[in-house]
Amino acid sequence: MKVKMLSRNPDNYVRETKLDLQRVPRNYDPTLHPFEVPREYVRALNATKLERVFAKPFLASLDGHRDGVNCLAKHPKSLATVLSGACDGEQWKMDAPAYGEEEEPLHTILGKTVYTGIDHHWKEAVFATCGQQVDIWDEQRTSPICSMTWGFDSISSVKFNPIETFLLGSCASDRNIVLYDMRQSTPLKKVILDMRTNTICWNPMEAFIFTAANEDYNLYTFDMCALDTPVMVHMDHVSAVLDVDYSPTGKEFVSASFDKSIRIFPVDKSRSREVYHTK
Amino acid sequence: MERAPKPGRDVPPKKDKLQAKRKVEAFLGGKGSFVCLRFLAEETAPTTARASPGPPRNKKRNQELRPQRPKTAHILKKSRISKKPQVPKKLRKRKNPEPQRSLSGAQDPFPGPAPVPVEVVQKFCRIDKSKKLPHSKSKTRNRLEVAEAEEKETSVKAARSELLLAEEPGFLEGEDGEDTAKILQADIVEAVDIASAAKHFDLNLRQFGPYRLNYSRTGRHLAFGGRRGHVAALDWVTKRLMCEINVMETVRDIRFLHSEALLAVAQNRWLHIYDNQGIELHCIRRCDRVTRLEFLPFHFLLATASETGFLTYLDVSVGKIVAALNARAGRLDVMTWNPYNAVIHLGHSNGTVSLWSPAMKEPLAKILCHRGGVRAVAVDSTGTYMATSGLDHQLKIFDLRGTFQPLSARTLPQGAGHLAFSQRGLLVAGMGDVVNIWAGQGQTGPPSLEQPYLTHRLSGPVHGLQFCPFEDVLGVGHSGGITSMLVPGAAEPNFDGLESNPYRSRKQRQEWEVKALLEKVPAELICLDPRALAEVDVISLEQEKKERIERLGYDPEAKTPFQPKPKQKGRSSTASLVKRKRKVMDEDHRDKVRQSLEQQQHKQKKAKPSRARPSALDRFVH
Repeated sequence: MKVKMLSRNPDNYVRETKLDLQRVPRNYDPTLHPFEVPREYVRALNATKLERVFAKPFLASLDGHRDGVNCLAKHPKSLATVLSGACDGEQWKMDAPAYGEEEEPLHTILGKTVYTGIDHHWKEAVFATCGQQVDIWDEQRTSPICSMTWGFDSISSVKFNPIETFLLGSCASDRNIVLYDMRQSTPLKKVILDMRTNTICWNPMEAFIFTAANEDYNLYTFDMCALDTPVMVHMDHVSAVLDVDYSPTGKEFVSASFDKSIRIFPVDKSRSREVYHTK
Repeated sequence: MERAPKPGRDVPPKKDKLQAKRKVEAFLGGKGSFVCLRFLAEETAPTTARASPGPPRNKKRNQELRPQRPKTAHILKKSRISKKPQVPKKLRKRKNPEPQRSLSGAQDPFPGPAPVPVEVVQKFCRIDKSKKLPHSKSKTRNRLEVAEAEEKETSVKAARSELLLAEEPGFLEGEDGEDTAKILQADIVEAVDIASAAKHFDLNLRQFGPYRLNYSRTGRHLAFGGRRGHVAALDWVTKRLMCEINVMETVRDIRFLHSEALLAVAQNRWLHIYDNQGIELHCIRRCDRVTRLEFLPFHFLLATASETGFLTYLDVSVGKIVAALNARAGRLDVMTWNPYNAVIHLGHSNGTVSLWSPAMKEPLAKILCHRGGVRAVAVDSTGTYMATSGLDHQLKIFDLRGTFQPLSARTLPQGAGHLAFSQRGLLVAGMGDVVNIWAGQGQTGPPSLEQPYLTHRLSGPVHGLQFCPFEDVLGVGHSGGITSMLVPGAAEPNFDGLESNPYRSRKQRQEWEVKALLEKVPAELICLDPRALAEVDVISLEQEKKERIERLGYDPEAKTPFQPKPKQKGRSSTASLVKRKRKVMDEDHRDKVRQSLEQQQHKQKKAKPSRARPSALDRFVH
């Protein structure tokens, strides 16, 4: 008879000295690893719960303003500089570590109509304001270089494109978003939505993509080349979306809503990945 | 979408191409060199593309954004930012496989990657390709295709990694038609090496009654309990005794819990938990008159079958009774567990085997196995076969993963009171004081019950049987004590160090215990198919769909009826519209009829083999 028994040499399985690593032979046969799917489910559940336990997104609250803070602006090049403006006209500049340095204006311009929004060009010494129409101003002049308008209603916000820097986008109260070309001093395209858009924000990585924060609780990401359908509709807020801003990576954006919450959306998904709120 | 009125921007692409072509022809003076023309024509194509951005322009100028469609239609048709799912690049096959040349000029006699046997690749495939999926959207289909391509690649890689497995399984072959069943254990012990010979031993313990035994999950430790109260635990490889006590009560069954540190003993009245030093830790009074114990290692559940007819699940990590199910079949004393899906099999006196999960009050399934009572049940490690033996002296093997039908049966001269499967599919039956072991043909397929592989006679009737997990050893508890038999080829030769490692140190055991507790599967997930969580829950999906239709009042995913596109030049007259609509309707109708015919054919094919031999009276039936 021919016989062979399974016999293992312990030297191959046990380490020689305490300073060695332990030996761990592996066998990936699925029979030796039963219940793959339920175990992976439990591990994913535990990982998510722990991630929620350790997530502490709130960092600090900056006090100083005596009235409600209405607008924020970030410095395009400096990470530590943030400006905030309050309803009573105060402006504070945060330059880490200090917060609350008041600035004196260099130049004051009086206009004929109410200005509802302002944005600065990313490269040149030019800025745009909007109110009844979109005005492009040079920093040294007291009157606009050119004015553009399409339609008869007031315009609530204006934003320059960070990549194709001659492009502007604006939102008007007759539910449309208009795109302008600064070189030709003329409006380019218009898209009309069902409800009013509060603000738009251009994607800092993709040249022609912008996201519009709409009153109908959604955000619409459009491609400027084809405005007939949005690239993605982001639905998660339960009240009007008031403001939107992109992350410098261009992969995510954050949106603030009237329902007292802030949501972070990935650009290619229609649902938010994170929601922050205070009590 | 509206565009600001601007002359000269809308240059239709067609004109550009014609102009470019004319320019080229003029340059070449008519039909010039064919190659040049093609090259130039290719060059013009991209420029025309740039001039016309995006999808074809719509001629209508003042157009609203979209017709008033309900909200759900906002979910767009194609997303431009999200890239197409990355299908793994196919390995580009070389047109002329250049042989690898070394410095010496010798060629590789086996060029290309090592061939991988198909069965091994099949072992690592997890997607069930025979299941038909309901019709889904193209995005879902793309993702499924990507998943299938990935699975193919990884299964080949995993199959190739089997080269690294160090150990080979044992074997026993008779020469010149010798019957392996006639080979004695003494002969085997003489023929093998010393280390293996030491694995065969007999413990003569006649004083404390017939013994039941249990190996720990790593196969390194053995616990046994005698009917008259003798309980002991030892490391049987080094023969180091961990504890030996007498509990002063009848011991009906004994089991290790998740590691060798804890023992559960089913005593006469209640269930007791002991430390491996013999210290009594718990006395669980809710589990009374327990006859059989089973431990489910990945759920940390101890299942107890009692004389009162209750099947109780105790969670040993938190110490709570998860479920106490009334089996409604009288006294329960035949129980085993299915290692594939953690379902408990109970054998009853009316010949049925019922399958239980702690999530349900009723059994998951009931299988009629024997004409008398069921005496023993065993399930193999892959959960494919169930062996049962009954009072009718039959030993049957059932298929558990498809139809619950018997695959083979054998009449035994004496009914088998105990059954067990080994890791490699060997089946052992204890009949009185004789044990018979049957082996299968290779790894796949049930053991063939024709000729036993090995037999052995013990000094007393058998009361407990278990194959040691990673060793070629069968432990038998009988009325004369404990015997450890050599069975070459019984065990899985290569263990996984992260699951159960017989050579683990104390630190490794502690780490493993913590990780196992973190991964403990909740008891509600026990069901017949352990991969049920990974499947799409079609029933709930359909229920949701129905509710959505009720809520909205219409079906948002229903195909809109075909609307023929309005055409110019008189092709849009009423007659031609009606003709076009009819064409599409007829085509749909034809498809439906074809599908229903195919389904009928399928049904007929399925129905055909079940007919018995054709008889002359068939003409009166149809």
